[in-house]
Amino acid sequence: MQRKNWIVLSLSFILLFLAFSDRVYANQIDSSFHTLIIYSKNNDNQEEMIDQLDQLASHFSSTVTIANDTNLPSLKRYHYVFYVGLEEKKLSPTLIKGLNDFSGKIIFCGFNIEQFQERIDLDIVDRVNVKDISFVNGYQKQALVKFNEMLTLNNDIAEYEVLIEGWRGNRSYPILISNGNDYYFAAKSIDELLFHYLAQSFYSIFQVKGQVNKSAFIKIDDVHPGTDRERLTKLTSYLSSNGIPIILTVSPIYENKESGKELHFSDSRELMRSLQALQKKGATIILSYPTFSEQISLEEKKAIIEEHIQELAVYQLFPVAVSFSSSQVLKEEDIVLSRSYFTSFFSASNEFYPSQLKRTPPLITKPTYLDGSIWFPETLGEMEPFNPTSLLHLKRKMNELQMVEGSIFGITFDSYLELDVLIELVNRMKVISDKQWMDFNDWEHSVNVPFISIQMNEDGTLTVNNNLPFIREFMYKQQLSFFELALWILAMVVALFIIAFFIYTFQLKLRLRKSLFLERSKHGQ
Amino acid sequence: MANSLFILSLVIIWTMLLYHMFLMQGGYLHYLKYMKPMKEWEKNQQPLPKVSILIPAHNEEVVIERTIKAMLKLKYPREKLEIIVINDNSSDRTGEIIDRYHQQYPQIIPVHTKPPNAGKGKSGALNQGLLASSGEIIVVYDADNTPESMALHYLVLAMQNDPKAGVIVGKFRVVNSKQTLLTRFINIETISFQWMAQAGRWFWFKVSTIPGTNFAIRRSIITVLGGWDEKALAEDTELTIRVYNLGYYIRFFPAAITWEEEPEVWKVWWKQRTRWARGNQYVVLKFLKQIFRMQNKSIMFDLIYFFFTYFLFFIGVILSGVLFVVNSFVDLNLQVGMVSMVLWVLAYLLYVTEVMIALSIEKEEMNSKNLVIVLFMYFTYSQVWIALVMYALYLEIKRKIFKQEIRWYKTERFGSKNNNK
Repeated sequence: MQRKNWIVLSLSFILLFLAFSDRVYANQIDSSFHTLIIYSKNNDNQEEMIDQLDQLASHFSSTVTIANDTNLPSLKRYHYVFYVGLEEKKLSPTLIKGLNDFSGKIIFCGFNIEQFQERIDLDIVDRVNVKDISFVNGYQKQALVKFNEMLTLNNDIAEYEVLIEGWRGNRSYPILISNGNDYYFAAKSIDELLFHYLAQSFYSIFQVKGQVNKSAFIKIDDVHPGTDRERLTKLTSYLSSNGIPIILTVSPIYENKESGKELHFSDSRELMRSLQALQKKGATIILSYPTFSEQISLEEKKAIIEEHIQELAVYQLFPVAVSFSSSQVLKEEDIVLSRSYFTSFFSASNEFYPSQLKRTPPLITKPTYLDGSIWFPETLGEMEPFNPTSLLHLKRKMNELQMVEGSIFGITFDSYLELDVLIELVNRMKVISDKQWMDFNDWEHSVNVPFISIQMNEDGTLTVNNNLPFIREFMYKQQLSFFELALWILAMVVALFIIAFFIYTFQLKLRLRKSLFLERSKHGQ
Repeated sequence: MANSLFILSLVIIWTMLLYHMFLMQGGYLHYLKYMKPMKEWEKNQQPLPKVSILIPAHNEEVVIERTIKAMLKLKYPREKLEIIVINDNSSDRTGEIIDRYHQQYPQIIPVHTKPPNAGKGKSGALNQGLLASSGEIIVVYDADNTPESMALHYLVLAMQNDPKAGVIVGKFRVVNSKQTLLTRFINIETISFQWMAQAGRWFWFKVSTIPGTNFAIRRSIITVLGGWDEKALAEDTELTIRVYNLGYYIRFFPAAITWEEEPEVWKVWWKQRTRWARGNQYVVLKFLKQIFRMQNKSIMFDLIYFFFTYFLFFIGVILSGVLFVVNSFVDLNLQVGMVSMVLWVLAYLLYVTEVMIALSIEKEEMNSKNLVIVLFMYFTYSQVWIALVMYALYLEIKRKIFKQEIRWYKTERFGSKNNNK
């Protein structure tokens, strides 16, 4: 009996460990640290750098608060404070005192470091453009895409620990240094490569042990009612047979640009059934964020997003997240709008996106601006097989991401691409060491729009509450406009009257026959 | 653009069809109950008023004798009835026939119009007849009418018992319905779309239109109104609106039946109906300007119905037809799909069932021959009607632009025997 108990206990521990290792990223997001980011700037506009720090800090913290130096909150509840001097400025004694008295770690960034001598004794004397960066005692130098301006220090930093250094020729400049407790980050902006270096350094800052395993996903993009079902089946079958979870970005409407005709899943029933079957087998369905015209109002956008989700749900396709396409022009309002419906986002970086999504962090995150939603960054962008630069970029990105522990390798693969391209991509991704394919059914997702609520639990259980009125459901299924619905109602009313008129005709016929009979009886015929 | 036009045409067409469907329902209900007050009225037994029947006649030698004979058979006290036959500038034997009957029957009073009051059309003749009349109630019959013997009795009975009614109108039937295919069409049209629609309008809105024949009007009213409008081609519709504006209504009482001759050839039909259509277009344009000042809101509604019938409906039908043809060759990407085809089929079925109800009311009209004609009529007679309304509108526009004088077309008579009674 005792021996049996031991076995059960051991098995429980093994299962617990496996569950833990599977959800390591989730646990880090659920950390109990509270982090504050204070920035100094003469106007209230936040800068990209704040968003990037938010993204990284959010991965390691339970909450992140962002505040302007003029609106300093009480520091008591925070474990970590980032002070970001975006501009040179004389800081208020309250802020200086507040930070000096702070018991946790402070990560100083940019200007105004000389005003915190009590915490870290550093002075900025100049600016320098560096071309390469490296970890001290770590990876070899890697080249930045373009020169990055750093702030240089005049102090003797022999007693400081340098974590990241920048290079200009043979001369190195500290980018991230620590005096044992606090840190100083000397960059004025964070480019993609530096972002990865910084992400890795956050493990030291937050004193979290990094995970060896990397996670990866391939998202089949642009699935819509016009998609070639056979090709899609080939792609998904291949993914399935290679143990790669299927993630599909789906749009319920496809507009043929040439004919101007709209296709819905009611026009592509077989494809719809295939998608339903894939979903049943565990494929994750993600809503493709609709593309809007420039003139569209916020209310119209809301209506379209809600309609897209409702329409998919009516076709028994339940999106659990939203995905922004790199070809879309996004505004900040799109992010605000999406987070009101979704708790999970997929997005690659795009220079033309709002600063919040301009760069993809190498880690899964839930930045403050997503209001509790999780961002699964598509760090590798999009598979473009016919663009040699893009393939080189893919290779470089994979190489860069390798150095970040627990990093994510997410890529978009268009559904119109051939199977051999997918095979090539999967082969290319084999270079990622200690890679685990991500299954989004292991995450909690929630989607809420009027009448429809979709919940996915960590055990992959999907709960859908569909309270769409019958008429709305009928309209989606038949793809009816309000005018067409009105016409169908009209048709039903007319049909009823036709039936009534038939009945009247027979009634009159009987009545007439009766009166003729009475007339004949009366006249004795 | 094509979509918007298609939607517009559907809205116009179905506004009319639904309204008609609604009228048919009302017509059916009216048929079930219109005889109910009769018993009460018969009990009242008020002293009968003097009645003057006006029969305008212009070159009616073929039919006038038969009409006079039918008038003489009317069951109404002779001393309280004068039958005024207005010989309006006839060049045939009409006047002679009237005079002959006058010598034999003193209640037949001939009026021979003289210049400058001669040949001014139906309204002019009626005004001349009105001057010669002395009855409290004026009843009008066309020269080709053979009313049933109780027709006048019913008209007077309804008028005596309904003080709010300024006019009582009866129904008319086609005397030569079996003569040609055209008269069969007209017979069905008359039963279905004239008297059933009339009954429906009366049932729902207490609105009826004077049909030009087989109606009684109070002398006091026609005097106040100054007689008939001699400029109007559709003097009956024009008078209808003026009666309503005076605060009276027009009661539809189908117990009073008259039989009238209808055109047997298409040419005559075309001319007669063009006059009707133009006349109604004239009335719509005349009163549309003052529509919101009208006392009786129901007649305002009726005027809109006329506007739809004679202006919008055929535009909707043509528009939809053109789009259908163009779409057969070039994809117009019309976004209303299947439902428009369903509606087309339903429109046809609605048409057939509406006619079937109306035919079922009349003895021996609901037969297989008429049923086949109804199925066929939708694609022929009804379509020619649309062309006719369009043509009439063209003539009216031309008349307005070139300030042409209105010419009253007198319907050619055939003198067919009644093959229905």
